[in-house]
Amino acid sequence: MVKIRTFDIANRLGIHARVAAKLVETANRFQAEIFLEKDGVEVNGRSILGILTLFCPRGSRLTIRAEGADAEEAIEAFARLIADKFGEV
Amino acid sequence: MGEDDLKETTVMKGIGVSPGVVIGKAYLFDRRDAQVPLYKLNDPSLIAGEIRRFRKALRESEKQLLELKNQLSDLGGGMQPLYIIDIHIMILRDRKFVDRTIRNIREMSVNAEWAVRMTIDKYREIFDRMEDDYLRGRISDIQYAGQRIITNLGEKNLTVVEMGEGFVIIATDLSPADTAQMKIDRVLGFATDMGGKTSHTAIVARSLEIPPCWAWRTSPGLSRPTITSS
Repeated sequence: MVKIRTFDIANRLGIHARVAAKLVETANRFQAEIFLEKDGVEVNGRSILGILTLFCPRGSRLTIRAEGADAEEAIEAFARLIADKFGEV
Repeated sequence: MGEDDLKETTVMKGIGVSPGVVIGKAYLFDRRDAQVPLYKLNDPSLIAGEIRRFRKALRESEKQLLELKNQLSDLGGGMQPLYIIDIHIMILRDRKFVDRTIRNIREMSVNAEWAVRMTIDKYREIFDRMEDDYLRGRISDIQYAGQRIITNLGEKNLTVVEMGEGFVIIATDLSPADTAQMKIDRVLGFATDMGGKTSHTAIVARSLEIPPCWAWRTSPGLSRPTITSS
């Protein structure tokens, strides 16, 4: 199963190190392979350095692709995390 | 010659990152081992062993950071900087970081220390191109993680800093792991050569309510009275 969804990054500081760590933690909870894409550049969702090098300040559009049996649940988990602004403002 | 003749006053300007003024003796903290051996593997049969050595140092580094994290958790008090240690652990587990280093050993026939340095340099190139100050500064996290691997590749163990009362720590840069190894209640302030308001040293210092100051190109002598302010 492949699930793809695009999100707007709305927290003030964008994807900084702590947020990148939360994305990796979320990706690690699922069997599905997770890929993050921004402006045509794709990185592995389990790579903190990959995510940081995507450079996503506030207002970035980030597309998340999950591939695997629990892809649906994975995308939902990312959706909640991003909607919650990663627990930040 | 009297003691006063040996004293010398140096004024250094830095960027203040947290409020406060402290006066204390300087303690020069140097995590880096200047004697890191860098050499080519002149026999292809050595490559597999070198990769194993790297993986072992990687596991050691991760284990140490997990232990440090547990120690700090036990201290309680809502240690915010703990997540920075998590970030360093994630870098050690980053497949790109690990694969790139192994590829350096394999394709460039260099020893593990050199291979780790090459990987750090590669990321420095990538991060230097970023326009955002905060993200550009994240190369320091990669350096902390990398430096720990290099230290574990060596024979020497990481030093636990034992110091007396009331010192101002002078260092090139500091990681939360470094500060965890100091008796933090005895530290008055930090003066480092790298970092800014968004550096992880600053985050640690602020959470511990220690006033740090960033000075550039410092070459301080030990025990010279130092004032840090912001």
